[in-house]
Amino acid sequence: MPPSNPLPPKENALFKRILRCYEHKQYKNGLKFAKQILSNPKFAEHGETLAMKGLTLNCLGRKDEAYEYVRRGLRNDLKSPVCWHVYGLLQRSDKKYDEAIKCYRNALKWEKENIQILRDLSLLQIQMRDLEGYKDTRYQLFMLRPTQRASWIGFAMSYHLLGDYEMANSILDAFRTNQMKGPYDYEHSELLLYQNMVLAESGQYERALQHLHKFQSQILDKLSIKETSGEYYLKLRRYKDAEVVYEDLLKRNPENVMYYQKLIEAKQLSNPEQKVAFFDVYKKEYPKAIAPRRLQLTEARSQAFTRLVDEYLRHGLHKGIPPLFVDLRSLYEDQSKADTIENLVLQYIENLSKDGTFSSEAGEVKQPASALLWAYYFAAQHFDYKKDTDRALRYIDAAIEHTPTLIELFIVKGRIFKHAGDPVSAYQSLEEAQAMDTADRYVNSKCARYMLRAGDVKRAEEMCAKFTREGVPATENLNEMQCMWFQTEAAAAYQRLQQWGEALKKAHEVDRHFSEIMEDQFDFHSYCMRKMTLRSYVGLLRLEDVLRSHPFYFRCARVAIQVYLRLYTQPLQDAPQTAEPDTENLAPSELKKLRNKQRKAKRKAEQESALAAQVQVKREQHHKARQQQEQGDPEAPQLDELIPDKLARAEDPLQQAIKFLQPLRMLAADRIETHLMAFEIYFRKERPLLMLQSIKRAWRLDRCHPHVHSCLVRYRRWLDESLHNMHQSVVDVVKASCQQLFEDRSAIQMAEEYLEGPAKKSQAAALWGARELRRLLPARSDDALRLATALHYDDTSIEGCVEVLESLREGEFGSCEEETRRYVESCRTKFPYAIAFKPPSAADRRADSADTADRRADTADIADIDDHPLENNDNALNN
Amino acid sequence: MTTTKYGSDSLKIYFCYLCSLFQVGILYGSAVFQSFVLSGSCLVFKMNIRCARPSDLMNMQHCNLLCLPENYQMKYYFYHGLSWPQLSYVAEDEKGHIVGYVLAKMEEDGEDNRHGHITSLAVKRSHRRLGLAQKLMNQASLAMVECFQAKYVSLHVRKSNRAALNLYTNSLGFKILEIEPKYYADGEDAYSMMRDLSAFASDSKTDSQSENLEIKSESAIVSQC
Repeated sequence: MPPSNPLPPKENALFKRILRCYEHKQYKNGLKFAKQILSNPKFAEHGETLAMKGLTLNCLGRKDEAYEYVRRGLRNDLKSPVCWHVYGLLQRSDKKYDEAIKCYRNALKWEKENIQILRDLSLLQIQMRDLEGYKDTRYQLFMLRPTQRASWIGFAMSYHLLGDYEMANSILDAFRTNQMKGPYDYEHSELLLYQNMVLAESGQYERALQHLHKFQSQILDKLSIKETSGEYYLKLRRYKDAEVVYEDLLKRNPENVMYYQKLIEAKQLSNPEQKVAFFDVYKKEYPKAIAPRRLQLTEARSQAFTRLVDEYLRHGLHKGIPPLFVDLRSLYEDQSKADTIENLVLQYIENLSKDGTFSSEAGEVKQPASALLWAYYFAAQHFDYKKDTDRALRYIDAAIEHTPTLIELFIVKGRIFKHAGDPVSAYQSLEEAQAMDTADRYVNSKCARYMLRAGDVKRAEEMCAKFTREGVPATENLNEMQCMWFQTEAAAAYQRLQQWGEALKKAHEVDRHFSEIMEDQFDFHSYCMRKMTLRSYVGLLRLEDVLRSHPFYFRCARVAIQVYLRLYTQPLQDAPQTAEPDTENLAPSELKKLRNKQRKAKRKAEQESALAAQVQVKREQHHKARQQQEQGDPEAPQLDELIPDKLARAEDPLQQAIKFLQPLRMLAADRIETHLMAFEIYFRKERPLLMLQSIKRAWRLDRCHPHVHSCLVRYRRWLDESLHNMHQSVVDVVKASCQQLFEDRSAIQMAEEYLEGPAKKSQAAALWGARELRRLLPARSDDALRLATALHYDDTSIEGCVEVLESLREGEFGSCEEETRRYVESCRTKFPYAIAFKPPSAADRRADSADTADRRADTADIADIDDHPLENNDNALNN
Repeated sequence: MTTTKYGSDSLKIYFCYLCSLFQVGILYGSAVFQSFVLSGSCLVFKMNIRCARPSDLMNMQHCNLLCLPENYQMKYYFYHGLSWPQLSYVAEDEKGHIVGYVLAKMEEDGEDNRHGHITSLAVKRSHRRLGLAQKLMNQASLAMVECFQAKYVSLHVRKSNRAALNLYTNSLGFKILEIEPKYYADGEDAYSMMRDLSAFASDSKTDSQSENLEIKSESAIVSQC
């Protein structure tokens, strides 16, 4: 359809040149031609020219003007597909995909068969997972361009993604027979494997297997052929065939644990003795492989285990394999296996230090001197695992005395301190390790993490800076590189330090990485279609669908939600945080000191802002260079700068918390914390049904969880007070659903039952039980306090005690200074290393490190992860 | 009107840009059926070496950031994984955490000069001396030959990284081609190295295994192209 305001030939030629300039990124020239048209009063309001001028301006980074021109152009020519398309492109460059889709649809109204618009539309649809829309668009593209490869592939894929495997397969079949003419190259091979994937996902393993056999010779990816046919044979219970395949795969890679697992399945071995014998075969066949030897230990029992683990340990200690303990740790779930290992290791140490052999039996070979060292090293980790800090330290010190230059020893020593609740000594150990090999970033990272655990963010940043780009602050470079371990740890550290704004900033930075990684897929929608790596492409789409199920996201969201909740309950004062100290009552000498301090701080701040200015310049240069590289790609939308103070003063903290919560409710529904956090938010928002939903989900996961108990009691009480204000239909739903949860008990009854049951057995249960008791029956505050501060529970831990201590200090149990002091003392006796319970003077030694105000050590959360925040990842991807 | 911002060229340009930024030279693997591959219950994973999948990419980036000074944004990992899905491998521990990886690609400059390139190889210090680096490299090399008919594989290593140099020369049969002055962002020189893969080629034809390719050594260290 022609534009409603056609240009005469001369102007039309100019307009075509604008388009060409745009395509060739000659934006300045494009503007010149636009000016030539628009300066003619007859065409001063020519819609398409105005729109193109706007689009060109956008590429030069002049966004506001761009919108102005594009909108004006559109207003002048609402029936022009060009104007709508341009408006769509502008929105797309701004990542407003929903809006862009609407624009493209409008454009297509006026020009149904514009290939380019259809293509652009299909990209947005797949990006937004509008699968039905994608299918329609791919269908039209297919009808319009049936000779193009991408038309077929996109068409087939649109059905595949909708689960219509038959249709997808037929399209691929037709394409293969009509379109693909040799040579049988990599792309062809990938296409065949993609088709095979479609067949397998439809559940037709027999057919998939035949397909695979038929095209075997045309497929280059031999590994995939074997792995998938193995799967099919197992699915089809053709065990003999499966056996052959997995034997073959093991030849290729004897370290793949899954192959052994599948082979056992194929051989239908069930009892442990059979499996132990099975692994004997492969130990012989692949003497250098670790997997069969290690897997055998998991299966072996009693006598056989003792013999095998003895062999395994001796081999490891003789050779000096540092990960020996880490490798065996999972065996400790079986107490008898742990005991066996302990006995053996102690026996080695005794004999090695006496006469250099592993045992006192005759004919024992003399071991190298290092064997004793490694035995000490193993024992230290062993006792650390058993929370026997004293013995662990004794062994690691013996090891260090034996060989003072081995970095691994200091790393383990640091870990022992960390587990014992002393993050400061922990990072000091790591600093020693780090100094011994400054080129090793792993030690550096670990050291920085321990510093963050100790609440020393500044020192951690300085440590990291040894490996980040020069001339840019470490945090900036780490952010650019999407270094999420650092950012999640820093967020948690700031949270413990009660620097709410900084904590939120880090959490938002991580959240932005996830958004960016979602964006990253965009380019691959068309790229993979050309490369034919369609299996991986589908894998990418499925990954992106659940991206925020990643543990890094969970951790940053947890910090953000907790901080927002806190800021809702206790908003920051409006006054600037650094209130002028009261100088009137100071002695002159003190006053002088204070002034000096202030001067120093000022000078430091000036230096820092100078550095920041330099950085800004650098950043801009860097940005420019990048823009030039991308040759005028419309600039990515500028995100608001994250300013800690502004974040901490959000007007609607609960709404902000919900933003972080939503992905968790979708993608981390299997984690009880998700629903507990949801309850806390909705409780404050007084949303009865959402509270109910959160409780029910949490209750289903673990009805005895102490926090669930607290939710139940509070909800019950809240209902007692609020039910009469609610709409009858809501009341009906609530009443019907609560039957199962409350079992007709009142809040007080529930609380009392809990005190008699779970609260007697666990520290966390006691704390939560005590909180509710006090809330419901203030008269029994003393009971509550006694319950919370008891230390006799089997599961009493440093983290648990710290939580109790915080509750006491936050005043949750009223004013109880004396009790708090006594509690700290008892904790100190129980956990002598833990810094959280040290008297203030001793804890002060941490203050030499930086000048942060609140330095309460908080070890909560410390125990959970080492290098690995990455739990649960795979499951999520298979949904 | 053609206005493909996201044309093939823009991707290429983007990655060239990345390369120039870091002066270096993914992801994922033949996850045809990751769903049922992973859903198997039975043995808990122990130290495991397998082809990387798209879902491994973020964790490879994490491992890279812990271990090495040369880092890349996620998109670069995606680029590897979606261009050469067979070439990157991971070593994971019993919890499925990645303790080592090799990120590899093909250099496709001309039919006669098809060769693989190791973009990045790392093993966590906590998992050294298990021979993981060597095993990862051998798996990637085999895939390069099978899927892309690579004749050799190349990489860069810091002149100062003795451990890595030792691994490449003594355990994996790499030869130093030349020194590339100031290859790394911090100004350090790199050895440009290559390993002939014809042994893998004949091997994969006879369909025997990579065992004969193993060169004796126990050192398995971190390095970086």
